[in-house]
Amino acid sequence: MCKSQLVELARQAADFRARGIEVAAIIPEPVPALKAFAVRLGIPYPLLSDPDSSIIRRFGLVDARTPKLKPEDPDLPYAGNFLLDADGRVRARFFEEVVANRRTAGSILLHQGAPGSGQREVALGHALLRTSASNAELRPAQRFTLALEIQMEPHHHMYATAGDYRPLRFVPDPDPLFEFHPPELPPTRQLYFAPLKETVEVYEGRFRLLQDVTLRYAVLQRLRDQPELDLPLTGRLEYQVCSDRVCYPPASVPVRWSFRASRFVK
Amino acid sequence: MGPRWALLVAVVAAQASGPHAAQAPGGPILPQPEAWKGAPGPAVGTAVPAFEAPDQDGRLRRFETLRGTGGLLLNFNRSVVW
Repeated sequence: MCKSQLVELARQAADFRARGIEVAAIIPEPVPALKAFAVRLGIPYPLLSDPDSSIIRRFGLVDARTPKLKPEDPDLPYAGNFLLDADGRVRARFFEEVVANRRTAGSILLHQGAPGSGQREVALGHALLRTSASNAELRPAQRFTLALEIQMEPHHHMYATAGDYRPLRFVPDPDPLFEFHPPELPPTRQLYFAPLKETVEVYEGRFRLLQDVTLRYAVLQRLRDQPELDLPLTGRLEYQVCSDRVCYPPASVPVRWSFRASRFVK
Repeated sequence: MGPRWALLVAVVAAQASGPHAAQAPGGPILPQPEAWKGAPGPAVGTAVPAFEAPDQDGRLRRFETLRGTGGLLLNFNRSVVW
């Protein structure tokens, strides 16, 4: 599962570099093992060797949850990522509470504002919806991100708060293979309706809803019979559009993404 | 009167908050809420410990020679073997 993460990170390395962010990994194994892996899988970024886990220890990342196979094995780290600024300060970090789960580097990029892949456009009333995802290819237990980007026509908005208006909401279709995390909603503006003397939170202009999803480890069972699986992910976007003068009925539009799941990198 | 939303005259009292759309590259790293709040390791806002280690080509690397102008994604992983 670690190899899968390092391979996925290799795929995203150029996109990080385009944003001025370099990429490196620290692994408690000797240089020759890292070299063989880098050559075999074509890893374009530094893999740092920490065979006695001294760096892992200094970072406070020794993971005592996973027992060692042999007592002389190095201490294992919690698997995860730090996004450091140019001064070496942690700006964001990505660790999963469930031991097996791993966030993709693509998900980190999407949350940093990068566009996703596999863009689809859907015309809504007075708005345009663009859906995309952080990754097109998935491995078991990976946490990835869906993006729903909306561009409103001028003088039109959608709603954030429930009440008399249907708030913007992504409703995924239940699927035993996908775990849906709490969505990340865009910032709102306050809109005051004088006749009703009410203030509501609205979305206007261009904004994105980000939905993290974990492909459950259990998908491995379905991959026993075939090395690759086409996985659709479906749901609907609920919303309501109003202009400065008039409101349209609450609406809902189906949305879908397509992914290809495969087994862990060997 | 029909549904309250059917006919409205809005007076916009806008508060400036920028749209959170896909961003052009090269900007500062956006803060990101943590999925696992109790996660170990250096906290957001703190500097990571100094480190130096050989890479797969035997070259000694440390933060200053790894980072880009926008920063560094530092990944910790357990194995390239199993």
